[in-house]
Amino acid sequence: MADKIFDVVVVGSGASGGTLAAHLARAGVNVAVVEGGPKINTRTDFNTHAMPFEFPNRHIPTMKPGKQGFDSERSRGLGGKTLTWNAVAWRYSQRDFKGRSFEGAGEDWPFEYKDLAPYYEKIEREVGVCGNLDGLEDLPDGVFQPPVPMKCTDIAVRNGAAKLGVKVIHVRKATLSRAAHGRPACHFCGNCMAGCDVVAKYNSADVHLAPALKTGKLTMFTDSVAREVVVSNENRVTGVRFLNRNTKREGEVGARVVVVSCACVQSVALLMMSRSRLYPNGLGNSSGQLGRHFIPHFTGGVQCFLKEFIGKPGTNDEGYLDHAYVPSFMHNRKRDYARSFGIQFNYQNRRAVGWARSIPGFGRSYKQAVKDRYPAFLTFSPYGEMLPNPKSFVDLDWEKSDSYGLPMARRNVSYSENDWKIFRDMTEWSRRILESAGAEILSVSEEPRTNHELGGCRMGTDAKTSVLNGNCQSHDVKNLFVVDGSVFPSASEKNPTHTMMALAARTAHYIANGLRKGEL
Amino acid sequence: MSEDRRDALKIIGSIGATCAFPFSADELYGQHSHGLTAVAQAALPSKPQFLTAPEMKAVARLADLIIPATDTPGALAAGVPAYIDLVISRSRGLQKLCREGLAWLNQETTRVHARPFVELNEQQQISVLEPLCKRADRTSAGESSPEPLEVEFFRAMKNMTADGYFTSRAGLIEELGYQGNTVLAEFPACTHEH
Repeated sequence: MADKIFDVVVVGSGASGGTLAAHLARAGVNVAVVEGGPKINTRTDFNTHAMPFEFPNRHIPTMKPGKQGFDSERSRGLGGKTLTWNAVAWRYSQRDFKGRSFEGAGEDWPFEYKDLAPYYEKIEREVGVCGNLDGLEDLPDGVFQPPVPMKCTDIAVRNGAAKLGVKVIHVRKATLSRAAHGRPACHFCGNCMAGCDVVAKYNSADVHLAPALKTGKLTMFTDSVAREVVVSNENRVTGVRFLNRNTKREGEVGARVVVVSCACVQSVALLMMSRSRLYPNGLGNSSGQLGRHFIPHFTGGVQCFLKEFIGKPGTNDEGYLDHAYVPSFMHNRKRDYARSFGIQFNYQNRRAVGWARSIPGFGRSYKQAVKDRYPAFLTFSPYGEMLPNPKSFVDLDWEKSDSYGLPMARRNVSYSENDWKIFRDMTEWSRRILESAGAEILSVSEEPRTNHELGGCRMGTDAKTSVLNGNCQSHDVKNLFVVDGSVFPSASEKNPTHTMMALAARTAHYIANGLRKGEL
Repeated sequence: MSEDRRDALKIIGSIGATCAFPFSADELYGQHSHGLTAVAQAALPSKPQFLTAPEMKAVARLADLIIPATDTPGALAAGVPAYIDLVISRSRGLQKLCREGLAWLNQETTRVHARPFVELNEQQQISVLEPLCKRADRTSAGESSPEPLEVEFFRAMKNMTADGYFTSRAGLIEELGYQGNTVLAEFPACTHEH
């Protein structure tokens, strides 16, 4: 039995869990966060400014020697993946929420853009998002700090794309372009995804959780790997059981409400592991829908050299990583598939020169060819929306357990005809845009790769075909909520984190009200 | 006051001491002693981990031919042979490939020139490698046919040389002119005519 009962226990401390816990604490709710990893000091623990040659094998470890965290496949650490994300922050549009209504493909979300819009705005105001007001139908504007200027190579691509009638816009990121909220502006050191040690880039531990601790309403259980959400015979969740990451000793924390926010696949896995008399197939899974409709983004890529920069002097332009984006432009074009794609570019820093392997020849001419191309290297990473299909799902491998004795989650991904059509078209468009910008193409990836895990515990209005209702609340168990990428009924082509954070703020609001009214 | 430090204060800018964020301005500066120029290259093992002395000699010659010294240091000065030996020592597959590949190389040069690879003159060495490189470049570009050992071996040598060199201090900073990992008060907007 748990020693202590909180109003709400949130499992996970990343973009969703961190935002949600902070919003609840600020609303006066007694909240506990159960995080599988250690507390990390963003300022000192990451190898933020290391160069590859500081290590004999030239591989830069994520953490400084002796510092824990991010050493497992599960991004464990207070702040989750926001510590190492790239901070791209788009609002989804009405078309993203209503794919089925618009074109009969995918699934509608159980609410509209206008229902989430106030929460997008709340997040933008409290974390700081920079970007341009572009007035696009498929990419709603928000409340932004000024955008960061484009790189020279971005402008060359923008000009090439314009010849094809395709727009290139400033990227929008939850990274400050101006000092605000007691955080400094980005200073363009180029190490965003190695852990921003001044917190110009948003992370949930420093921006949401640290200030929320001051309310006295927030309690942290770090190094606590959740293994079960406990449900009573009265069909209410009563708390969370966890294992201490170091000692493996079991602990339990009691709750009036439990929110599962441990990053899509891990959230699904935790519910599947939580088997009980009432729910032998996983908690809140009377519909059998848990794990289904797994719809991670698929991405491809084109690497190229922009000819006008070959042999030119290099510039210090890796700061803030990618500065520009090709937003979805297919919704209004004739095509033989449903849904769309967007193209991210240039989000690697200039310390990675793996492409040098692919330059032909050897000797002096080879060395010169690499040097000449160094300032001209550019990558396109298109992201496409995957439609749900019966062969794409998450399940548990009960035969294989991790170091805690917990079953491993299995990702089963199979692409449908529509997915392949998007993949081929986004690859073709990427090549076409780059060639229009005067590119020498180096490589084109021919196989989709998954990124941004989404789906598996989707929201919906029908309890037979979804796990949660439109408030991220279990259809089966009233005081159980799930908030993260797993709840997305459809993926959109856009990076999902801003939507997760807005959903977290919206759900926190709903839970705080429900508790106040005694309805939960 | 260092320039880095001045820039940092400019960036931290308007943040007052009474802000809601629980860190002082000094802490906000994090680990920012970027000082790229001060960072030394880590020492590589002084003795070979896997390769024998003659093998090491051949690997060093290969690396030197793939990325020679020009007005900037080449693979040798960048410590690439020791890096290659380290990488090989950690992979069974590479151990087999490189041992057999090096043996092939000497057999081939003995057959054609009656001498092991390292004893040939530079022109002879290059003429042995050129056909291997052409073949490796073709398959890298997407042609896939079963590949002879020596082509696979050359590709591995070229890959390891490129990896080792362009992640070295000499390769990344002196040769390529890497300028990042610094503090900029503002991102320099493009001034080119496009």
